[in-house]
Amino acid sequence: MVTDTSAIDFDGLSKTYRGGKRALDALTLTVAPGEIFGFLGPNGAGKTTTIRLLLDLIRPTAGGVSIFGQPCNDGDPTVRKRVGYLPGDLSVYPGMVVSSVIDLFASLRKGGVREVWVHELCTRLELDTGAKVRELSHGNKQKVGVVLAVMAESDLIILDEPTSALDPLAQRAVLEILREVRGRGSTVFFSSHNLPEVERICDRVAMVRQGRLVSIQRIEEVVSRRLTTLTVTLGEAPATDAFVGLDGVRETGRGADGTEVHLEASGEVDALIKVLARYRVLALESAPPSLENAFLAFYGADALPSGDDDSLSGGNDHSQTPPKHPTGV
Amino acid sequence: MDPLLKKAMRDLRGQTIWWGVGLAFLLGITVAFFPSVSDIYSDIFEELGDEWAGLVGDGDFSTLEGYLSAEFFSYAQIALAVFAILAGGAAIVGEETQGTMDLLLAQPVSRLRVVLVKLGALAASITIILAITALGFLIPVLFINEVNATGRIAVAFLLFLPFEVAVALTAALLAQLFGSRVVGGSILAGLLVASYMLDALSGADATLESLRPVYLTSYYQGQQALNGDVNWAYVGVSLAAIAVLGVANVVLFLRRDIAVNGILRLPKPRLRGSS
Repeated sequence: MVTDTSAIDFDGLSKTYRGGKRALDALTLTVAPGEIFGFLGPNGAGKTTTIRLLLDLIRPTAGGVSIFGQPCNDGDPTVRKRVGYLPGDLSVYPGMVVSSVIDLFASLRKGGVREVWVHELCTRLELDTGAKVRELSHGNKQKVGVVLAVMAESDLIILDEPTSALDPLAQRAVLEILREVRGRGSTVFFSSHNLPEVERICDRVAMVRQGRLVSIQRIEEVVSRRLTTLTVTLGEAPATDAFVGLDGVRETGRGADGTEVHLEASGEVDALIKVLARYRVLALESAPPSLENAFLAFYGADALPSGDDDSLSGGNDHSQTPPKHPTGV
Repeated sequence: MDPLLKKAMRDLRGQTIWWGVGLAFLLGITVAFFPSVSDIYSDIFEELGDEWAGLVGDGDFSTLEGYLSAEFFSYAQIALAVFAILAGGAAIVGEETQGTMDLLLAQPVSRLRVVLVKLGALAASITIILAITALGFLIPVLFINEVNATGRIAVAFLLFLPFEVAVALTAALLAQLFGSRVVGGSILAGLLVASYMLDALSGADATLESLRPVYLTSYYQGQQALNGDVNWAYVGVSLAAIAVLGVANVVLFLRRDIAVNGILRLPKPRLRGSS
């Protein structure tokens, strides 16, 4: 049972690589024990750098980070007894049999791994433990990584894009496993650029871009404000102001004959559906919200970090405060 | 056995056996042919004179030591150095390049343990290759009845160890500094080949002779052991280098970022017209 006050404490964590590339800029946030925390951002946002700093694979140029109150970057490996990790760009020893890989990593944890649990994980993920790693598909290698990350039932599980190479069934199995380990008290720190996936599983989500924390939100707030793209084909062209004044709805364009209408909607779409019901709806397509749209929904295009926006520095209390630049759509 | 050491030795198993068997075979054949070719070689070297003979060794071809000095110990340190460079460069940086180091260091293992295991496995692997190679000497030597020659030859074998371990540690350090085993290995290989050539020519030129302490290959004293005139100062320098290089490898690995660009960079050649 985890009793620590915080699972992860980032305190002004910064990383500038040799050559001057600033990968992370004064990240400050706290992850509570027992939560599933989504760390969301486009490629190159600084997610992997953050995770590698957490694991002491790279050293910060400023600030610090601790796991369950223990500093991460002092070279002491004991903190990692409490951590399971899945790298984003996973590489496992290609010449080894899967079961040998699992045995090797289990042996480094000195009895911290239950054989029954490992067997259950492999069964649920349909992982062939007798195969050599080099014979596995990309997705199956990723399953090996998931098993290695979760098998020790660590207090903190850090996952960098865990489902990126998995098929939908395996993705679902992994997310179920994560919910299960959280149910047993583990904290999950989960990086992704896939917003729907994060929505399905996370309690809170932090958004990062260009190395800077943009916001921390409770997932319900993200869902309620997310921007969905809709394309509606109607039997006849609606009036030009048909969708004006609908809360959270914005018309972004029309097809040549005016019957195909492109819309963006955030939050509830009840009012929009009621307006559409006045027409003969021939087709309705809805695209899942992209990460870029999620940023836009919260902050508008001008609020995306360009380098000098003080409002973008992080803080745990962001989860309780409304976004500074609501879209007003 | 420590699971990491077991894994590191397993990674080197194939290379170790094949390099050992290859060198053992080469040495075994060389020894086996000693009785039949020694007379012919002696005649040739008498005609060449001492200066040219120095290019291929200072051997007296009427004895097994002299014969092996020219036919095996004159180049074996370079042949084994190829393994030392390849394995040394791969020992730490190889795992980073492969991407497996992240997963390994995310476990509750210290960087110190990882680097000591890697370097220890490297030294053990070189020792095993030498042991296998020694078998390639001992087996045929029993048949040609030259057992009394084994004393100096055993010393020549032992002297491979400090030299090759120092080369391997240098390769590991350069790979860490440049973040690339190819760059580090190429630099070291170039230095070794240049040293070998200059060292070989130094017998014929007083200036080159005076520069011997600069040549890396001078620090292998195996050939001198066969003549009974080992310069132990050179051996001492090799042993000191092992200590210094070992510490440097450890300190660097403990302090630096894992799997990012190296600390040093070679200047990029500038093409005409490029900005």
